[in-house]
Amino acid sequence: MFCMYNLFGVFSALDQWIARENVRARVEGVPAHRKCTIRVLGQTALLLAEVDLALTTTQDLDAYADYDWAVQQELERLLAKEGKVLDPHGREIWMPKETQYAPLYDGRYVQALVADPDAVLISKALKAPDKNEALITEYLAKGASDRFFELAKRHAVDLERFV
Amino acid sequence: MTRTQDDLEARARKRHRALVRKHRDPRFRKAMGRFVAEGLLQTNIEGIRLHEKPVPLDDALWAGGVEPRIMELLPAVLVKKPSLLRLPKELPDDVAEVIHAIRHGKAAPSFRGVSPEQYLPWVTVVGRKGKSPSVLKSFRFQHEDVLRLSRLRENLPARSDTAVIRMALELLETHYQRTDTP
Repeated sequence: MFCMYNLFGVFSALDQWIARENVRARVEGVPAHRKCTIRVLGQTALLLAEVDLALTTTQDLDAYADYDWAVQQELERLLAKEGKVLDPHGREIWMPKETQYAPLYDGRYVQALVADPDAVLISKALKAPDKNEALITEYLAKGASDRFFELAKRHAVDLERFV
Repeated sequence: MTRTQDDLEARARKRHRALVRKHRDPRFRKAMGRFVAEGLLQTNIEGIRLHEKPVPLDDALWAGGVEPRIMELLPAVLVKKPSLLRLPKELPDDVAEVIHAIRHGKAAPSFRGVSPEQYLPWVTVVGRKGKSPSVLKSFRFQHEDVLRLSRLRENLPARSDTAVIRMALELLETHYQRTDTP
């Protein structure tokens, strides 16, 4: 039932597109795109981490990135081919400063990283508790990690509301 | 694990069992299966099968109470893809209100705990991509304006007066942006 789309392929295609655009930019003497870092957050990060939780995702990709507008447009186009949309509010997502990011794709112009599940779940528990109530309850029921409890304490997440 | 953590886990297990029961409810399975079949949602919840038939609105609303992402999509589905649902003759007041607000570009209300900021972005994604519902606007034109519209419709060519006005607006905006740039 769950078919994770080819996010690695999307980032690879984006990398190739930037490389082609930069060749053209050099020829035309216009500024080239610099290397960008894309941080994958939200449900997609949980899926990529293959956590043992019941996950339901919409079509959007939550990501925080430092790319320029043209690169974002191309990423949106590539995601659309996979039936996905880039969350327009990705930049506004709060993540704890202790978030650890694992490498997902490391290309010439694109580096993609995935946020760790504990940090993603803390972000959800703090910023969108109603929407993610079932998810946090399930995580607690299945034995949340000590790190999750530490982060919850540090960021004043009220875990009582999920039980 | 501390005693507090132990206690939280025990209480969470009890609550989680109740949630799993809701996931097994036919109303939830059908609604989730319908949204997944349409490509609006993906899930790894066990036992969800693709469901191709319209789902009763009541069942979708009930399922939306279990999975908020269903509720988040419902206003857009009601306006852009109502064929996913089996609608009753009389819609609940809040459902009718949210449909009216989206269709007529009015201030959108919160919908069963979901804010407009959460559900409105899906209106352009569900159904025909990139299209938001058209809004009825009326203007009073002089006779010469009507004649000008008619001439433009034939000469452009445009399919309708609305298409002429749309083109003119786009042109005006492009011109304005060009002259506005220092």
